[in-house]
Amino acid sequence: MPSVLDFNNVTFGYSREPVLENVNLSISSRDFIAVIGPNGGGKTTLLKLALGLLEPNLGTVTLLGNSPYQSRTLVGYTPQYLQVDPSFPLSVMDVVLMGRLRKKSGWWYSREDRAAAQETLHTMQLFEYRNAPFGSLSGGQKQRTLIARALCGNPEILFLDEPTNNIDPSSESILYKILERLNERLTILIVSHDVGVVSSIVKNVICVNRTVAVHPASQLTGLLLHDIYGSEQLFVRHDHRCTVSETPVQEIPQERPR
Amino acid sequence: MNHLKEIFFAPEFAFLRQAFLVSAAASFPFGIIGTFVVVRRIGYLASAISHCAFGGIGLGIFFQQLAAAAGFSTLAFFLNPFPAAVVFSILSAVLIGVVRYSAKEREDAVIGSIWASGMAVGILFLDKTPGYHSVEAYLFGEILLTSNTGLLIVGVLSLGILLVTGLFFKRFEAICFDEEYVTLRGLPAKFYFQFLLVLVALIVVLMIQLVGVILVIALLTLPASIAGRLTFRLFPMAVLATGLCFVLSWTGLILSSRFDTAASPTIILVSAAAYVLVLLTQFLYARIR
Repeated sequence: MPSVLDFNNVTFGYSREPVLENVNLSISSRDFIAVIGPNGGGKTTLLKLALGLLEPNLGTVTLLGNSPYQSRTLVGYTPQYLQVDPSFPLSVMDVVLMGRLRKKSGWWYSREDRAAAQETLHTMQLFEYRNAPFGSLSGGQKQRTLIARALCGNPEILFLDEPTNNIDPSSESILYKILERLNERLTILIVSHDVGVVSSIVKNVICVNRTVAVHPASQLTGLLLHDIYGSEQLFVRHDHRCTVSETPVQEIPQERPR
Repeated sequence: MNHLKEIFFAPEFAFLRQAFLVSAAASFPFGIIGTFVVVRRIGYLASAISHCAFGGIGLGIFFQQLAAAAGFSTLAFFLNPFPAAVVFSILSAVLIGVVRYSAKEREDAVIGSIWASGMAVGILFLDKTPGYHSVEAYLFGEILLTSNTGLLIVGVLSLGILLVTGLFFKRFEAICFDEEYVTLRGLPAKFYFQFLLVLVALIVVLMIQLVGVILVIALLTLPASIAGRLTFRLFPMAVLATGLCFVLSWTGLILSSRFDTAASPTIILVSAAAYVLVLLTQFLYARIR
């Protein structure tokens, strides 16, 4: 599988203190990869470097064979839905259509743009809500709308920032099923705190805490998480794919952190 | 209705007719750009720009008087305070945009200081201008003294705003909703935001003669805020805000001519009352349901 995202000796810091140091990373096409790590460990920074929203202090980032800036239009990005104003007066269709924005697009959305948006709404199981106000949707539906917007631009790689934050378990389950289906044609990188669930659906895991290590999802254990997070972690695996691994279904630390 | 007919056809009420026409023309820029100001929550930026315009007005009057005193009457005629206000407002809009994106200081503190400095420059220059100059016309506006040139300028501005927002609507909509996403689509989101601020600056400065530095912000935000509570899509919100701005300013003008009150504050109070009425109605409706 060809590589779609490469970090070569990347170091980045907002001040003198580096947030990420000497990061080397290569993500293959059609990979489904989760970025996990403690708060302040550099997960969002890693995502922003990959998207070209930040420039590395040292090293290079290559996305789809070019610089992230040049490859931007081939990338689908979904922020946390809490980052957008829920009271903003837009319908679900209006939000999804934004995915068709391009440098050379016309002044108004074309018939093709609308057809692509409708198709994406079907994929995300949101077609019946197309005329509903974005603000009236549940957290899970809002998140799916933002993913639909990202997909509407026909991306080759999809970045999702904490997609399951503040959404209920049933919406989470729908979302993961859709993502698994999308992974058949897309590379997906997901930033998440939900280690247990994520590790059961992704193929690989990037553990970020100033430095970066990539592990197959099947090798993620409580011990490894302890090394990443620096404290005992309650790790409950909701297992589907990883039943063949030697990882126990549930690992509970001997002593809970005080 | 008879009162309105009388105003429109009696020659002695030509000034009122002019006020009605200019407020109708002003409804388009106020309604459309006001919608973006409200949804992007940049009312305080528009306030800062409008107060900075006062700096330009003070500077313009000072140099106009200086030229007149030196015997350069033609130069004095062209040194109208409004071109200086336009330059000041656009510069302040650009400065605010730069601060927003690149300053490491607290944004609200820097914008507050730009706001106050603009006013201070205006007061300072007016204080040093020979003779007495009433600042009330600039602070609160004189819609009843709108000249034919003023009406023409507002008309042209309205057409310009309609054209520009027609062309940039989906881009403005996108940057107001999620600027970072627009950047990731390869579009110059910062440029579009800066452009929106410059449009706000232009509207603010040209509408100062209608409602003044202090009250201009009310017409920019109140009709759009009411419209925002009644619709859930941006385009209908802009259309409704334009219509509301038209109705509210005409209602204000009718009431001011009937009860002999100052026109601009009456328009603002009518708009504020309408906003409170909508809020109350929605609150009571929600309670009853």
